Amino acid sequence: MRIDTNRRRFLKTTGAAGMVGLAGCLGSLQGGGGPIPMGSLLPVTGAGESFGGGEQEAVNMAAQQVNDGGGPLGRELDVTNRDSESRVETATPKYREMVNEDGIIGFVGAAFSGVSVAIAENLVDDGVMQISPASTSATLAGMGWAGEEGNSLKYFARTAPNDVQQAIVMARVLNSDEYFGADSAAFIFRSDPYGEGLASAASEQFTGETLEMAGYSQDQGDFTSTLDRIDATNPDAVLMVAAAGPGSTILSQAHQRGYDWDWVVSEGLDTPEFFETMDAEAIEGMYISSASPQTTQAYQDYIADDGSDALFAPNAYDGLMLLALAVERAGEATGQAIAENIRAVSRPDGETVTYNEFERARDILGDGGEINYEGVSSSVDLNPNYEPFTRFAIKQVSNGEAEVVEELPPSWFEGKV
Amino acid sequence: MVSAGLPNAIITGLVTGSILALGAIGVALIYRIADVPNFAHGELFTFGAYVALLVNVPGEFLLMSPFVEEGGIGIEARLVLSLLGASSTLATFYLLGGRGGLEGDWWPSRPPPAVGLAAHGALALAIGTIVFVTTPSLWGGFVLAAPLVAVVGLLQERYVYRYFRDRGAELATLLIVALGLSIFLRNSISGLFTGSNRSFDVANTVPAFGTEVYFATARLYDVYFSGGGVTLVVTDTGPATNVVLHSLSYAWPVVLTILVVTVAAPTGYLWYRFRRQIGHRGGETFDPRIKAGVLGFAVLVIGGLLLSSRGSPPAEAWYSTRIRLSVLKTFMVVGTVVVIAGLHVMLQETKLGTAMRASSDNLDLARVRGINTGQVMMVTWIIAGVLGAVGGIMLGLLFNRVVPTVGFNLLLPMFAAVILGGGGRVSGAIVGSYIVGLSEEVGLFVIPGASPSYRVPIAFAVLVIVLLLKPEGITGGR
Repeated sequence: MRIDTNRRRFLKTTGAAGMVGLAGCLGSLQGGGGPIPMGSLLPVTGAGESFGGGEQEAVNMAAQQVNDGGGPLGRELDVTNRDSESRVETATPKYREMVNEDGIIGFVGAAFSGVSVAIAENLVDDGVMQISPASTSATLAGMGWAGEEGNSLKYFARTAPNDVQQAIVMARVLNSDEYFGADSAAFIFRSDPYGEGLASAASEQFTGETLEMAGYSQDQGDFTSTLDRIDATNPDAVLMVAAAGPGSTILSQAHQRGYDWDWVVSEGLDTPEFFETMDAEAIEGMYISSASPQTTQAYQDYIADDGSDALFAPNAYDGLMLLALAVERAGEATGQAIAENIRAVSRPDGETVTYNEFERARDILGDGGEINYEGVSSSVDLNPNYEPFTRFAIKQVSNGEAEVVEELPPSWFEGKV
Repeated sequence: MVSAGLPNAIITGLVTGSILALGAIGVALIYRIADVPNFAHGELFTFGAYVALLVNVPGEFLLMSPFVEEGGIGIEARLVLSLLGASSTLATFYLLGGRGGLEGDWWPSRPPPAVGLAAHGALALAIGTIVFVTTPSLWGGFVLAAPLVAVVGLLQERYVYRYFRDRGAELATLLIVALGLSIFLRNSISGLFTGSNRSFDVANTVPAFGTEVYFATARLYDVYFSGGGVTLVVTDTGPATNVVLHSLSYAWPVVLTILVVTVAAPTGYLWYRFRRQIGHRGGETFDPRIKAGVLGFAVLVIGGLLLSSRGSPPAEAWYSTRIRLSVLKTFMVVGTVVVIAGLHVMLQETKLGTAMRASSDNLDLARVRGINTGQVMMVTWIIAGVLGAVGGIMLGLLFNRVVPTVGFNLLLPMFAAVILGGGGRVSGAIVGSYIVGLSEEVGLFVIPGASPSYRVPIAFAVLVIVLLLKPEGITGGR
């Protein structure tokens, strides 16, 4: 049956190509054909349901705009939307379906790092390009390489920042004499791939001695014994990766126990809710590392057109735009062609194109020019690991409010990751 | 000075164990008397904490927004809360036995209906008044949460568990029902109060004995051992500076005397009983070993206070250690011990307690002897509800945070404590709670390199080991 299907598809494709060729139109010049199959694999249900739907909307919005702008190579994008259900067990077979049955050459997904890692292992064999809007795990920088890492094509890209960036920012607060200049530090983190990855990356960047790596489970409520253990090691500073809820418990319990440590915490605590519930005294002088995206004109235009503002939805929009632009630049619709061209369309040294400008980008590329796609989420300049650098800020808490003390532009991170 | 690992871990374990005990006692009572493995017990904790939040920070809840004016808690909010307190008190007695319950037919000797009604009405009025006056303090929270949570427990028993029990439902069915109820209650709580992180708004200091006492921040108890003797320095860690409260010195002979008397007094007491051949009499409220322990502790504290002399920490100490303990945590442990003692007296000395013990031993036999077992079950739920409310508020204070899963996360340790203690006995549940609490905290220090996220698994490993050695539980099989 499978052979039969493939034969049919082959006949259909060649038939279509033949028709276009006969018509003698531009299509044959561009190696034209039927719709280009692409996909999205996002957490519409499950743990990520609060943002997965919005991300999927953003992908479809981008696909619509690309098609309205003439489509890559004059062909239509045909996007298959699949629900990852936020779980590896369901996402993997759905990816397999998209590859085998829909014949996708590239897709936007997945959101959770764990899911992305499981899928990214197959990309090279399948010749499929993956671009994740939300997976920030450092592990993914080393995944999807066709050959030697750092020296070959990569089939996994992302529009979300790598956690290592934040680890570098937090380690800067520990290391630099402008801040703590600490010789020793303890690390508290949520025991999951995100927390563990970020804390161990920060510990690697830290030049002093790591005294304690204390993970906590998400439903833990009393952290007294964890804090006592850290106090026993007598650290110069304490670094914490936590969400707002447990983070506020840890900080207040430490304060109540009379532990007056120098704290640097992750961006998860930089929420209005956190500052409302915290006793200002307990967090006075604490440092927070925080991604501070620039609000660009592109983002405002995107929102004005009813683009979804769900978490990482702008990144999902940019993901599909990059896939489409890479196909256009390559002149052919294959996963390998995308992998070869996706960095080139994202970076400077080309004419800047931005939100909803696919048609203009096509014209520039058609005239033999180069483009630099400036995204909705960030400028998405993909570095050699196929991931963007985000602007970060170091904030310090003073009188219960976080104030920016240092801005770290994307260029600051070049060569550091 | 660096904190002492083990003593601090033991104290933290006692705090954890105390909160667990408040839940485990309820679980054990309900399991033994009402025959329900109450998997929805954690939600009683959660509900208690949220009710106290409603009193403490009414402005934060949409639920209370019609009654809260801009910039303060006015008459309306107080009135609504006090009405809630009064009506839930009356509802508690009504659920205990309909009109008869309100008229006092559950009293040891039945009063004239008018007297019963008046007494219950007065109690409801008193609770309403206390809530009205003390809002938004935490005391109002305790007073309102106790009857409200009791009513929730009673409604569960009256309309859910009794229905299934009357139809001869098996234990497994009741277990699933309880689990379903837990999910239903948890989601109702997050619907009513939303899932955001909440925390109590309590002042850092409370006025007591003419001075301000830091309530939640830890006190430092520094102990120095040196050639001159033992020195104890108590420091209050205020937000600004540390204030030395007491600095007590004991010369070695004094230390020795106190220790000898501390050991000798209870030993002598037990020896005297043994020589006079006074066994554990049935009518005795407290076990002689408990009496001996209390005696020893009292001697230690009184001796320590009487024989102390003022002194400063020695210049050179052989060994020094620092123990951290806040007033709040002391209050939690002491409060739990007082509640346990009160419950014990109630079970041993009152007619109701006797009925409860009889029902827990053999429900059918108790019924045959004329005990109103339905009412005994209802009382069990009231006790469980009140303890749950107190425990939930303590939990919220300890964590500085209340979320809809706060009680549910405690459910498995509570059941572990009951099973560890053995046979669903109340005494077993108490012992089990402190073992679970201590092994959670102390385990981290005993096992080098154990990640703090293994806190709970360590407690369950202890559970498995104990059950392998003694399958009937620690106090079971007697």
